[in-house]
Amino acid sequence: MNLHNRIGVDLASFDRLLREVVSSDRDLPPSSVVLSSVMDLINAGGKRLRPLMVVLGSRFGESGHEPAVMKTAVLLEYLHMASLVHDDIIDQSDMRRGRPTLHETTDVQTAVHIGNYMIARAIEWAAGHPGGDPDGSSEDVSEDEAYRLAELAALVTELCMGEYDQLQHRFDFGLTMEQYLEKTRCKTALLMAHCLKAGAEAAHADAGTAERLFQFGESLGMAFQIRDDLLDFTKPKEAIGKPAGADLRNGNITLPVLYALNDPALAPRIRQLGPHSAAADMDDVIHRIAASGAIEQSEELARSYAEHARRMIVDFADHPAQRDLQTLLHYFLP
Amino acid sequence: MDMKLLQDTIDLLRSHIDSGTDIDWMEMDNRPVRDIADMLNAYELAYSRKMTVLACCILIHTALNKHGKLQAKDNERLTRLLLDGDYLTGLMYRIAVKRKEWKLLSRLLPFHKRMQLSLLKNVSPERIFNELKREIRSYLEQRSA
Repeated sequence: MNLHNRIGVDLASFDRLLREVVSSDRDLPPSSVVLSSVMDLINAGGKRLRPLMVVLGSRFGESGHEPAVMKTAVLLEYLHMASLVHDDIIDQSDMRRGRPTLHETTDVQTAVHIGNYMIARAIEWAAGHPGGDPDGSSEDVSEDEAYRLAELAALVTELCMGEYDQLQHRFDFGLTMEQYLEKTRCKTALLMAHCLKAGAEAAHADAGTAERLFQFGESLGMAFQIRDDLLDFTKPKEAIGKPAGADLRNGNITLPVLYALNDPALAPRIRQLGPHSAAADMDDVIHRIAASGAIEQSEELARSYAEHARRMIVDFADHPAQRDLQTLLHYFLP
Repeated sequence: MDMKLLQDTIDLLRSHIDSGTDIDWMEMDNRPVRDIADMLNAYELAYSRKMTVLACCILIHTALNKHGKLQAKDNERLTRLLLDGDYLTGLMYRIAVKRKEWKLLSRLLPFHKRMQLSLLKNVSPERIFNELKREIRSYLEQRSA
């Protein structure tokens, strides 16, 4: 069963809100490439994990704040979708979710502007104009609420830091474990942590609860990203929509590579790789890493983050939404 | 030309930018934002607020320039330009929020959105920046009314 069914969230309603953000924009011509592109991105689907985490976080607050919660969820999903558009350009990915990526169907410059548009429009829609200048935005919010939403959009800076780290350490086989973990935290875990916290804050949960949810989300996000790094080595192309070892081919040093570098037989083969390596050499190393103990070691670290998250759930023992956190954890660690 | 406001604002921005970004400020062309600095000096507004307005304009201008050079064939350069533009835009939100300038941000958000639509219609960056100046002037007029 899908996560949204397990925690009782109607994704169809959520997707309608995602569409409303662009369809209600009076500055956007109906035949615009922007409108059709954003609709295509929404229609491509996805697990909507981040908005689900926002809703889940809100269950630790008060009821009656659903509009603020949904605005937060929509904004963070737009932020995520826009960051994927830019990530696909950086990674030179031509396919996502079985469809051509946006820069492939348009061009790099157009895709970048559409990504930028998505974030700006999502905040405009969510935050509106306190005091009210109607402009196709959703109903007005308080100034404090507007600041809270705009601060979420500023998370882009953190996401960028993960990408900067990745760029700086491209084919850098001297990357330390600490550097890898920080990159992973910025690229994935922080946004997931902020989703839970932002949901709690939108529903006026107390600060301590919001902070504990943040820490839970951070551990969960680390486990999730490490698992994703593993899939790059262990799943066939058809399952992940990109060639096996795509991360390493792009010079992105992930955890299985770091562990494999400790293998004296494998390390020299890995270190000889670079941006201009022959595909056959890449294939050979990727195959060897996939068959090595590095996979189990990476899995073990993912499990330890998941275990940390599991221990944190105990803190919420007196809360009815605790079982939703367990469901979320089980989703990431079946 | 009051260079102090511009310099203080650039110092403010430097203090906010993570050193890990390696964003090169030396290649930034200050001339367009000097007009806005001059405009700000003609209005009654606390110095720190003038700095916030100018900081946001510099960030929009620099992000616009970074994202306007994405024809680079070299993927590493393209990646850096893309990230720089994204980072600087995110920083604009952060600084406006941190310095409690919602009224400014509520004008810059729709502007920034429309800017992307204009760029897609091949409107020149110079024309877009002139629109930004008009937006800032309107904001200042409203503040002092």
